Amino acid sequence: MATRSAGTAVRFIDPIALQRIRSLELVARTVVDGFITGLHRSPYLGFSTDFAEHRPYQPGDDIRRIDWRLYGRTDRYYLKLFEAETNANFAVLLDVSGSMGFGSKDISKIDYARLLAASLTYFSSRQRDRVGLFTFRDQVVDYVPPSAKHLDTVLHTIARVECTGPGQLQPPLERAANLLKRSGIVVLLSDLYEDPDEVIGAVNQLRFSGQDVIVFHLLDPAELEFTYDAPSSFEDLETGERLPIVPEKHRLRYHGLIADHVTALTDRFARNRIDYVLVNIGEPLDRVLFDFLLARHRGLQTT
Amino acid sequence: MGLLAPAFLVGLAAIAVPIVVHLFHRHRKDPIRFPSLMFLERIPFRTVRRQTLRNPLLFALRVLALVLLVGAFARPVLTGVGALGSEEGAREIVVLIDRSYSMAHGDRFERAQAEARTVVDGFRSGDAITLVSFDSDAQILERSSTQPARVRATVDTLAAGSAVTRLGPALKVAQSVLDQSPRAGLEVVVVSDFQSGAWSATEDVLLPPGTRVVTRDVAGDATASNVMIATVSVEQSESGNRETAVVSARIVNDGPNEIQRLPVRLSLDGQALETVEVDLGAGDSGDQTAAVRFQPFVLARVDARATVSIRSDDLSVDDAFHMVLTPEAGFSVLVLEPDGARPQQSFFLARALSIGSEPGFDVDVKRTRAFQLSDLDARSVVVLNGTAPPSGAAFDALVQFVENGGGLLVALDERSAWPNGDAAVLGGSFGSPVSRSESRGGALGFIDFGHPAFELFQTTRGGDFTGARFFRYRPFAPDSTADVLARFDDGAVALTETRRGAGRVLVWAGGIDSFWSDFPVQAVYLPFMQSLVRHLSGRSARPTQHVVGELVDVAVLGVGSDERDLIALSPRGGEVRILPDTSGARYLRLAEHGYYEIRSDQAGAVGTPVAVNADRAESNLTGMDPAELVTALTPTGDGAGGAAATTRLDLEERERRQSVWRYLLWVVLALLMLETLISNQMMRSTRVAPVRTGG
Repeated sequence: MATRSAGTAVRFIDPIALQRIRSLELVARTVVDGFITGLHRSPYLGFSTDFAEHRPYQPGDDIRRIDWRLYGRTDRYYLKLFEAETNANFAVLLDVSGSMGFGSKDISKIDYARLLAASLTYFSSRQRDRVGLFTFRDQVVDYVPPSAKHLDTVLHTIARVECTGPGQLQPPLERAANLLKRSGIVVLLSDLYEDPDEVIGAVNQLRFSGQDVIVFHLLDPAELEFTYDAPSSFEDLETGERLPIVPEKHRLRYHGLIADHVTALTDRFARNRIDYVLVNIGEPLDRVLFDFLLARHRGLQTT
Repeated sequence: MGLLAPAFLVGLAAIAVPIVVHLFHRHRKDPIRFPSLMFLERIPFRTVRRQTLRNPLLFALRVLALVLLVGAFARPVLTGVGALGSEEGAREIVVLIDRSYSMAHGDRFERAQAEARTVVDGFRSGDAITLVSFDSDAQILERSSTQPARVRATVDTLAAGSAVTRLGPALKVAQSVLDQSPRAGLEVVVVSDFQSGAWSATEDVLLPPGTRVVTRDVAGDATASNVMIATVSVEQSESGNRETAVVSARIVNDGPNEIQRLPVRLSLDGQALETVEVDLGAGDSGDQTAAVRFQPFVLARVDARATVSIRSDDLSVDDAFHMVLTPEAGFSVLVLEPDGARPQQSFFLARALSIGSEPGFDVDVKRTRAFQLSDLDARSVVVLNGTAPPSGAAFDALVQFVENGGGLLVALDERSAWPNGDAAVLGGSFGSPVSRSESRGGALGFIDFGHPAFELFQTTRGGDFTGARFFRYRPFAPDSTADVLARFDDGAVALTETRRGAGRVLVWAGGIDSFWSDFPVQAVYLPFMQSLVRHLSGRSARPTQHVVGELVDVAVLGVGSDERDLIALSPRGGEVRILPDTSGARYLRLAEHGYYEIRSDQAGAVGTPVAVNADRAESNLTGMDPAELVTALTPTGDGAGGAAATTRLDLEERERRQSVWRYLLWVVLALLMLETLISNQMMRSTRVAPVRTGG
């Protein structure tokens, strides 16, 4: 398999451009097919019903894998290779609280999360995983059980989510841990506006139930840089609470707080061996995916 | 400090804007929807902080810019001692002092100097004085001087001249000085005898508004007496071998008293020839003019200086009239005919020239075969009337004659011929005769009336060439050295001119007798032939006298143009070097009355005198009312006393000159740029690196 360097040859796709594509499946294909060719098809080739390719027979190979029909036509020995069937569970936990509806530019965090969730789900579905979905605020809103046939349902559910109301991680993640009977991969997409310890406590429920948890922390550039100038009242999207703020005066302090928050989350997730990705929704979606999958692939190789 | 538009000070209320911005931090009307206030709630802040100035420097810059902007719109005027150097009462004074020759009457000029000194004595700190002396021209002697002693010294050196008075140029100089002056008080002081002819209402002079015009009339006695020699004429005539001149003069008494037995003297080269006494009535009596006719006298030498004079009175400039008289020699013309010439082939030409006088023409007609070299002695012009030129050495002598300044007229006829290879003398070549007899004959279709030979005929009644009919002519092909002066109506060349050395060669293609045309019987023939010969001789009429202010071409005065260095000695003993202009011509401006002498600067060189007289119009001492001048110069007519000048007008004029608002706007611009720079710098300093993202 040919591989490409991540930083040079990959052309990244603007998330705003992706958002204009209505069909999430088409978006997912666009994103996934774009980078998957350069990364890998499937890390495992084994016995399966899906034919992958032929290769010449070499001494030591199991003679049961020789394609005798091909031998009959060509008078040469070839082995049939099949794509592996992993049969793992893959579930997306999508935060649809009011804060996820924020976007300082043309794309909001929930829009970005939709594209990311759809891409990951599509990617997993192509690997024969069973795909499922949870949407949650302070409770689980929608639940699509993991299944090899639920790709369309998951994408449809993702497409119609609405962000409103306050959010909380502990109750919905506890509920998800209970519902996911089989171990698998769980991807949490949220802006994580909670105390880092509470976040870790909630996420650990999934990990302790045997799930491989990956956390995507979605933040808007305005949340990271706080580029506001004019003195204004700031209204909380979840609670409606207002606070008069002089951004110019408080920007430095805000930067310190958000940096501390991210640092605390990074530290705690790392200590609990949970993959944590801070996503600036101003960056291309496929680049985020590419960087993450490359890092994860390297992680798997080293472990 | 004053303000022209104080209402704009209301704009100072706008200062409240930056204050409000700084103190109250005007909140946006719509709240900013933000994902979570989790971190913002942790930031401690107190509302009292908003009541203090966030940035005193920016605040100060903005308020200052606003104040200066409002100040600029209020159009400030500096009236006290200020940064721009303007001072309350500081004046730009322009003193115009008349130096025309009428100011030499009595003690007028001394009084004019005293008036000018009085103005200089009134000099105050901050004032500037411009001193201009004028007659027909104006000359700035001191410009915006702040040194009254120097101006006073310059006034002391002034003297009346010989030119006439014209106030227009001087006032235009004053207008120019005042227009450029930054000072608030503008003043023009005109010191003159205000003759009636000095000012015309059509002069396009308008002093800046608010200018104070002060007139100082030094004419004094309105009934000033003056006797002048108004005009002098000379009649020159030949008497035998001598030339005599008769001088006539007209004497005018412009004073209130009659004058008995006034001696009028004619002198020649400084020696009195004759004195005649005349009686003159009073100025308004009707017999205030007397004509004097002196006895004829012999003009024995060239450039004789003749002067008619009377005894000096209060105005001595017009008490003498100067002339330069020279005997006018006649034109000696040699007409050459071919052998077997037609009877009366040169009859019309000889008759036409013989009628001429002042000076006359001396015409000799000979066969070409009989031509001798001595025939060229003292000749002015040679005419080849339908004949070939003499051959051999005689031809060379003829060419040399032309190159030395003689004139050659070649009248082409059927017998005309020219040596091969010598066409350059003619400026072209001619062919076989062309007949126009099948039609009514040809006529002259083009004439260069700008040429001196046709100068007489420029006017409508100057002569009619259209009546002449030419039935034959010799086609002439001029080369590049020949100028075509006339053409026939079919385009063929009729008359050309070629310069050869110092002389000229004219070629006439149509014959000068009646054999080929009826031109000799036309009225225009006689003056035309005389004009041709006069032009060929190279002699032009030289004026006997000039008027002060004239610009004369020294070549007209008979001074050789090949002189490399010419100087002119003025009547008062000054020396002026006459340099050629870009075209090589030399001109001399005559500024004084009397005799100029133009000569080479070589030692022992003989000078050529030039007589110059003052323009007699200046001798009319009738005055004008200076108030008329003041009214014409100031739109409001308030310049006479100055006291009536309105403060508003003065303030506006000062504001226009100072343009303080312009400087204020520049300062505002600089302040705003500084404010932008500082605020950008502060903005950058508050930014920090964003939190790193990604997997």
